Amino acid sequence: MLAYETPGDVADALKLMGGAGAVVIAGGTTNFGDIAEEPHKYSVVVDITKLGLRKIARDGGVISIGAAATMADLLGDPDLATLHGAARAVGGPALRNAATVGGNIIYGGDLVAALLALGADVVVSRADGASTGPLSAFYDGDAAQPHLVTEVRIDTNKKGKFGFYKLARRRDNARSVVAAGVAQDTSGRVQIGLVGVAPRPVVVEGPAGLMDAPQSAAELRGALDAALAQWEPPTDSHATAAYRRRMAPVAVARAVAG
Amino acid sequence: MYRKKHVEFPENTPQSFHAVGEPVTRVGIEGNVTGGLKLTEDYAFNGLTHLTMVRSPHHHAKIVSMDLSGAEATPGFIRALTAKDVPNNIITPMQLIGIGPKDERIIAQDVVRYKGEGLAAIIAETPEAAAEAASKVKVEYEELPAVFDVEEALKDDAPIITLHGKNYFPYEDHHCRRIRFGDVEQGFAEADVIVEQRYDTGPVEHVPMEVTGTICEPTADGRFNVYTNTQGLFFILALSSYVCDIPPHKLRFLGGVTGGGFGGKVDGVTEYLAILGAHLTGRPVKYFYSRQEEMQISSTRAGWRFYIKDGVKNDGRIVARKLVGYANCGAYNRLVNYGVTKGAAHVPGPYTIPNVYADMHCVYTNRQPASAMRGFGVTMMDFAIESQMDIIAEKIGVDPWRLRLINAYKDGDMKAHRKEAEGTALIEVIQETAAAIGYDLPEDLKALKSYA
Amino acid sequence: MTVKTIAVTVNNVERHVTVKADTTLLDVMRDELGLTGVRAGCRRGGCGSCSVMIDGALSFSCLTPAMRADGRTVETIEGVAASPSDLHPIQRAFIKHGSSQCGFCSSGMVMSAKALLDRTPKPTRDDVVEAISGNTCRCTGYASIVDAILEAADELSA
Repeated sequence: MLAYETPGDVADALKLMGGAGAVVIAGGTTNFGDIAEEPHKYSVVVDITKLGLRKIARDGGVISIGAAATMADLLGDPDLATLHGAARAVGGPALRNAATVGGNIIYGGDLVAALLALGADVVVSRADGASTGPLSAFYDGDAAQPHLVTEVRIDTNKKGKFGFYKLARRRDNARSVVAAGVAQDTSGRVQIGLVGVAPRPVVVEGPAGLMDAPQSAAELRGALDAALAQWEPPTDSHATAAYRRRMAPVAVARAVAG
Repeated sequence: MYRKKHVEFPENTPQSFHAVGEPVTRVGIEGNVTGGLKLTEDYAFNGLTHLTMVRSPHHHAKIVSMDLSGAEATPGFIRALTAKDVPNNIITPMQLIGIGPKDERIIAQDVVRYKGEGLAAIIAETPEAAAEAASKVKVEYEELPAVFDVEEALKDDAPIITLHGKNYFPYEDHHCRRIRFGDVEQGFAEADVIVEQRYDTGPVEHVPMEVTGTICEPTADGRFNVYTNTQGLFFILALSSYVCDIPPHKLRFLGGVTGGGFGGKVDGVTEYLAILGAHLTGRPVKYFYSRQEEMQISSTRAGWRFYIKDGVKNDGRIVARKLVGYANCGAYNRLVNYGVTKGAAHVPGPYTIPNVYADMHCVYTNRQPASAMRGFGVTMMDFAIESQMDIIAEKIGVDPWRLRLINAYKDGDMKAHRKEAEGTALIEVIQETAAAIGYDLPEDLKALKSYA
Repeated sequence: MTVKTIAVTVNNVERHVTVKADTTLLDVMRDELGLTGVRAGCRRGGCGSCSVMIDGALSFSCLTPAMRADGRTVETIEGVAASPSDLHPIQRAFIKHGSSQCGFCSSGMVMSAKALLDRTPKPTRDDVVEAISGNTCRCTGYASIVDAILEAADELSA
């Protein structure tokens, strides 16, 4: 019979996660429906909402967002206004009251497009300890080993410009076709975070000064196609790979236009 | 010939009508907004059991063997239903009015014809136990060639997928429903311009907020209380009686409350197996689709393909229309044959055209079965016909309002299926629409009338 | 732990229910407490029919492990009206505007509306549209629902 465990610290959580048939839930918005329908597929539910990770801390200009912070928590924090567009793009109000930052990172949700563009760091705990590194590198890492994203950090000292756009079949509460975050630092360097253009979130360099000199989707297409050539976008009930590829520069252009 | 009579009701004055233009409170709406509304799934039963189907992962395959032992060993398993447990395991919904052939298995027997077709029903103490037991049923398949496209399915070398041996629904021994009126070839010869176009529409899922389902409770007096959210209560009672070989007076259907249907709950699907399950286990049985089944297994609106060829005069008069239509009814014909007949009667649309030819096909493919949905047969054809009207207008440089108005049918016109048009109002509706949106029609079009 | 008896205050009454690891709060409401106004539409957070308030926050009961409801306060559609003859202004507005046809989505719609008006007494039309964006209705086309919520807001903030 399926067990439900609520570990009180990260080490215990990782231990439980290493067991056969373990499934992790935080907000539960992505996987608890599946667990409830077919519990025989799992042996233990590891509830990670009691690890003390639902907090937002400030240190200088660096804001550390605990992985259990919800989309609603982000929207309630005026210091995180940069992320509000992306947080609001996730589901509807009830979903945002449950969906966590950590879950969005693990499942590659819309928020990640913004976080990647902003050059966020993540803190990841594994059995051998915690490490901090760029979020972009997290998606290159070994997902098979038990690991917990515990925190994501944004350096707000880096002044610059930012835009976000989610392209979906409906305005609200829809899975994205493509989501794009575009950030330009004071030197004019542009980072574009994209969800929906590959089996995983990706970040690519954009044309320098793009936020000051917006380009149309048609103008952006060549460079973006080249930068994303190694990836095959997913095809699912929301969009085909071809449509996603076609819409990527549209989402970027709209993110820039604001 | 049947003629509808115009009847006066002198006792009714405009002042005695209160519904049109006035808000009318929906019956029972208090229950909707307080949670008091009781839907089928809201009734509680002692000892309720849960039914889950084992479904085919293949579009078309022979069932070589099925091993239920893993399911039977699952804690909570009560019993399985397979094809041999269904007394009359071949139906078609319209058999009730003498239309056939019967083509649909309630539970697949020997062959599965679409991905998601049920091969066995697992009844267990809890939904979780039913899901687990169903996952342990081992089925060996031999895959067969599948066909999904309507025109591919009608080719000579297409795999035959039906029990009756044809990939089309036979209309009185013809391979399609036909309309022949005037001489289209003559009409094309007289035309100044020929406009030909293909139109495709996809299947559409109804997505009712409440999934389709039934709970059947055996009663102490040997009858069955059937709680269902079907849209066709009496229709399905009669079919259930046939499928389950239980006399109709022993089936007490309770329904009428449906959490959205839109045509998707017209077919009986869950009723038969809930009744049989209750009959064979002596326990109340609940068979509700999961949301995934509702999306992927339940009937859809049929996808259609149309080829329209029109002969048009330079002034906009359409002198010939040839329409070849194909409705994709999926692996089993539920009500699509009826939609096709409706569509044929609708050719050439609300227009009077002297030469009309239509071949309307109801085609079997290895898709999930299609059925009723909101104006089916006519809605999709109107998409094609009205798109065609706009294309004609553009091609010959005639205002699309004019094109429709000068071709509109009028009272007394003979329709292509040999019914005299009466009570027509297309002209007046278009005139009113133009006025409502501030489009000033030319005087000659304003002067047109549907009646003499 | 595989089973646990939780204490949950539902519509102002404390209830004790034994639940499993895979039990949803939705199933507790419907199957254990008979609160069938909480609808099971998709069981995946896609339709909003199962919406309830947990400690005042709008939540999908289908995605909430029942284990997690221990010690919490839940309000369902059955707790919104003061009494059968004294409906909440949102409910009255829904009736007046014909904002419910088949009725399946209405429980969740009313809960989402209430969650909005509890915090934003004077919403804009856009606020209302966003507030019900997690709720799907297949009958009405939404306009009458938005009208009703705006009218209820006017009445409540008057």
